[in-house]
Amino acid sequence: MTQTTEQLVELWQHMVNGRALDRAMCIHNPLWHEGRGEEASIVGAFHALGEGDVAAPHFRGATTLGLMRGLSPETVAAGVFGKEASVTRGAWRGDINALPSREVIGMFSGSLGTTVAYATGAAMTIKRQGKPGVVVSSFGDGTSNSGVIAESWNMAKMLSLPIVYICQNNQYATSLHADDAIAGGTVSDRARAYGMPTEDVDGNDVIAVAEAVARATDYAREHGPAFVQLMTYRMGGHYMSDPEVYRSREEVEEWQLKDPIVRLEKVLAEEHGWDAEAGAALRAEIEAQYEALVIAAKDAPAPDPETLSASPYVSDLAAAKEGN
Amino acid sequence: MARMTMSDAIVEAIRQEMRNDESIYMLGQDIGQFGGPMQATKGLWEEFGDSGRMIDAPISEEAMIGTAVGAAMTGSRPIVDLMFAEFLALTVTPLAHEGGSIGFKTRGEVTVPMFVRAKCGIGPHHGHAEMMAGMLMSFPGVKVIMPTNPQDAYSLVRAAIRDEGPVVMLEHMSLLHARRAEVDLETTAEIGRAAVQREGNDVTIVASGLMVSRAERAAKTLAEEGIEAEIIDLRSIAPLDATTVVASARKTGAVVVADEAWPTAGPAAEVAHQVLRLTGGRDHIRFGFATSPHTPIPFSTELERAFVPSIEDIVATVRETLAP
Repeated sequence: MTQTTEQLVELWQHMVNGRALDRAMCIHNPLWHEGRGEEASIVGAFHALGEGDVAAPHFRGATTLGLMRGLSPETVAAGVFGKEASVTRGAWRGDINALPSREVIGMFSGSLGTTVAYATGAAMTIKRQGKPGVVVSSFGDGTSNSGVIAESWNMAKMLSLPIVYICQNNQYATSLHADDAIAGGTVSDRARAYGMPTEDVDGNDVIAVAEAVARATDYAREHGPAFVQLMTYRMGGHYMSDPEVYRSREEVEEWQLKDPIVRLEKVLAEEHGWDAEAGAALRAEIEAQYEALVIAAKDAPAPDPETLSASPYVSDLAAAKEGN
Repeated sequence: MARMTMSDAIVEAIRQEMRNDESIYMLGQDIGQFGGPMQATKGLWEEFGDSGRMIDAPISEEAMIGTAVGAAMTGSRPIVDLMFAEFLALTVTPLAHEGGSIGFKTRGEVTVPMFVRAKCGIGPHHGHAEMMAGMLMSFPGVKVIMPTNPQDAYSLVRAAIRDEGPVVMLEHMSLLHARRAEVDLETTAEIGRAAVQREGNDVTIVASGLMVSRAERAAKTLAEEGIEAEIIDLRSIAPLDATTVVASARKTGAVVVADEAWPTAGPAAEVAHQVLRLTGGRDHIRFGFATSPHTPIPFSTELERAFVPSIEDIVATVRETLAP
């Protein structure tokens, strides 16, 4: 599968947007969970999904997916701060579920793993309806140890569901290294044990990710679940106040050399006549734009508690207030 | 009209709803050719098995519920037969903590229309008696119903399947295959409404499940002593119909809760809380509790009998409550 220049530039644009939001949040939001370094894994996994397909991203990527799905950056930023202008109008945190809908499943609490079961359920809906869709369910190496994933994989295989499971392996579950946490080899070894075709891919190479996920979705639409492991790296800490005592500076610096955006820019320059200078200027422009809108979102008005009842649950909420 | 047991009525309601709505499917252990535990799905496999709408599940309770939440979010209306209520503890995150909240957190953009069946209570099975009612009641957005007769079972199941949020039905094993009764297949019910089973002016007995029939027999004994008990069958444990309970309590001046569930932070505690909340203690309403001890349910038949409130316990509690 060869990508056209336009397709590669689109991948670049998605990654740069995701990075720009990430950067601005790092500066202006002390509660942010940084995803810098993992843009290729997120963008490559989800960009090719179409109408009728369902995306269930890992939380470290939910905002980037929201942007890819056409949400305005202002709306995404409002969601991260829980403001009135967000999709849920402040009812839920947009950093881990930027666009809750029938086509985008994300986290609904701080628990990890259930999203994989929800994605599997979405694949059941697609299969039962006899539609051609596929689900892509992404989760981290830490989440892979959650028991519900084993249960979900078993059911997906048993029912031949159209779903691709992706382990976005950034090597750390907060501070615990994947090599120490995952018994029995790798997450791919576990996936193979369930009879799923698996691929291990360089998760910082967006082209390789996109191609591997395309192969996996083609398989899943026809035959049932498939698995892809994306080896990547979280360049920042788990969260903004992470002391990062669990890893060395050398390790971080080594991975900085594999920056997924820089790598794609190199391919674009060498093989597609990319104007590096213009690209750098555009990146700076996008970063400034995102920083401005993140500042504005932070200062935007909070939702009015009275509007909480503006949902199909009006009667439930009214009853809750009454104590009935 | 048709004469049926509560179990027959539940199956009939599911059959009617499945005929009307293609988006409904059922998932549970042994619900295929086996016909369901305690014949819980008798005949449904014969009608819906070929269309793949009756799915035999592996022993994976969290994924059974988790996939159902995901399927419900994306356009299906799943029914999960969880077999026994004690297994609900394995499913709390997807079912209650997240599933119950998704409609609120997304302002109704995404809803979770799912119906969960779970057997409980002392009965012929001599095991699996735990109700988990208090646990379920803690979570906003989760509805809990507990029918005591075939008509309510039929009507409440139809309402539960049509509800936009998760509804758990606790099926008491001593009632499922007990007396037959006429069921009007056109009657509908509203979840959240209690029924006054017997009218009286001296004491209000609030009950659900098997305790309703024990309260009825207790009321006959009490009537011989000149005490006329009003019996309220809660039918819906969450939301709990405090309005009906309080109206009766104001009339009789005394509330006795007869309840088989664990007494701490469960239905009995909630009934007392609601009455106090809505009256502010100003109506001088007396309280009595014929409830189980706060211990695990014992195994020996004799100990089990001692654990669950008996007719004599209810009578004695009423006498004590009304004593000057």
